[in-house]
Amino acid sequence: MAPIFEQTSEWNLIIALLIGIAFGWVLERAGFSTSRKLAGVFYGYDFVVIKVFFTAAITASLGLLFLNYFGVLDFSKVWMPTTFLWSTIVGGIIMGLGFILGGFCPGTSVCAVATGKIDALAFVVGITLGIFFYSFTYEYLWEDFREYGNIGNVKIGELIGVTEGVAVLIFILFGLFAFWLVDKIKKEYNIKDVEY
Amino acid sequence: MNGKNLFGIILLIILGIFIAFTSLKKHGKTEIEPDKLINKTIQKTRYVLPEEVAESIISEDPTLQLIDVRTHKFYSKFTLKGAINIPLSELFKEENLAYFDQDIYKTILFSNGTSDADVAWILATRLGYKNIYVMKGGLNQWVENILQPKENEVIWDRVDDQLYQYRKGASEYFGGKVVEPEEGVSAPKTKTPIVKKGKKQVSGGCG
Amino acid sequence: MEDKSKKYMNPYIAGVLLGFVIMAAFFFSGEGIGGSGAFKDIVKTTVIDLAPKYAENSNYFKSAVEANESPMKSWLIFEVLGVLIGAAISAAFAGRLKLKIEHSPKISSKTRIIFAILGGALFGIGSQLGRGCTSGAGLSGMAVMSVSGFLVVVAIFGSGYLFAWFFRKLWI
Repeated sequence: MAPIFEQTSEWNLIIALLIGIAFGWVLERAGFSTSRKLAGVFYGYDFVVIKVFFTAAITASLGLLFLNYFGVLDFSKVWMPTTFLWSTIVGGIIMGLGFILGGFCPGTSVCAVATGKIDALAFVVGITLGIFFYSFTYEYLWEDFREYGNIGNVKIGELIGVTEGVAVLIFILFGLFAFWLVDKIKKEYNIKDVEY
Repeated sequence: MNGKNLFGIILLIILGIFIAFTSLKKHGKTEIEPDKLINKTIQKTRYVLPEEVAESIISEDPTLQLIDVRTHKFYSKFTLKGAINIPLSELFKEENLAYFDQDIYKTILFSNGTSDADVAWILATRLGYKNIYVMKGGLNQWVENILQPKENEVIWDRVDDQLYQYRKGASEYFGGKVVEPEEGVSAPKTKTPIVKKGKKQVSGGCG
Repeated sequence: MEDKSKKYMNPYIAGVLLGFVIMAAFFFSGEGIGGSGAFKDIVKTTVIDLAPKYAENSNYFKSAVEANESPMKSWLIFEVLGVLIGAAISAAFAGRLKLKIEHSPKISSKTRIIFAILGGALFGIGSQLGRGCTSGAGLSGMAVMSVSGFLVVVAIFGSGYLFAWFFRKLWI
């Protein structure tokens, strides 16, 4: 019964390294190591982020449900984030601004550092500085707000009142629509490619 | 739209529709169907005799896991060698279920008579746990057969004789004809289960 | 230009592969993938080592001090190390391993670096407040169909589109 390793198992660290290698490899192959490609999603000249991102999320959510269906994966032992409405929304907005200014997100910046991007290294330094700032001002600025809007471990299916499987099906259809839409937008508005 | 994309879209939709009709399995163990449970309950193979239990204890069978389903009070007064105490009322505690959730040990339940152990057996079996047995007659039978074997006036046949000899031997092992049974078995040594740790709250993905 | 984009993988295939990587993480360890968490662990380790007194009294570091195990031995630290290795291998094979500062021709390298640090800092703060970044909270959260996963993705991209117009000079 998966997860195969106990949370305290030392094997997890080796698995983590291997998973990381695969993760980094895919990110680089998809072109996520260049900030100008990533930023393209916000200006309409390159929608690769949306395509990779949603395909990955759909594949994983569908696959995890299949693992559960075949009795391989026990969902009660799998990481499941608690939803904090307000802190997540505000955190997300801050991250979105950071994305536009910096052109990376933490995962892709690490990937880009490995391929020799100096701007990515600056971004990584920035992340560390940001967390230092957050940690030193934690008691004064963030501690209370971080707990705002706790609605528990809610799944999207529970929220809209359908089963997990139906929610995934809706997610798939939504994703396919989004893929169609971004291609159409690019064609319709005749957005030219940007050289990078 | 090229052929590859079309293939991907169709595959995704088919898989999605399929999964939409399934429901989430909340636990790894699925509960057993009622009709199958009846079949299992009727079968007498779930009983083991006190003599068989005694033999396993004497031979220090490493796959033996004895579970005393009586209350803590009874357990502290007298129990079988190596038995673990899981009172019937605490059966569903997570740390207690961990004793059942394994496939290494042959689990034998016992109480004073047969009934409490039987109830525990049905509950555990319903939860899908396997390799569980009930000691027939419970500790009453144990005391009668093992600790104070009656001498049969007439030995009817060879089988009876063997059984009697066996009981006599076992009785000696367990402290022979002791009316106060505590002496024979004190300080039960228990093994700790391999408790499958639940997920601790992760502080938040990469956050 | 024309060949360069071809060298990147088809985004849908990359997405499916990435999905399998996420599944593998859940399958083996029950953990989601992530990015910013590793930096949090680095910060925690640094502060605890350099200023143990401060860390003990700080609400932010207290739990890590009490855990009495180095935050460096965490799942995410090793995962991020793996990302470095994996990306370097992939880039090496594709001939993309090159030291450079990438920026729009309209801005200088210096501007790019300043904004990268600024953006990184905002991402650092936001990821702590929102309990994870794009990959950790968003991608892994969506994989388990958690509301918070979808919420954070909508917030990040929504805010990205909102601010995109103001900072368009940085990119196009």
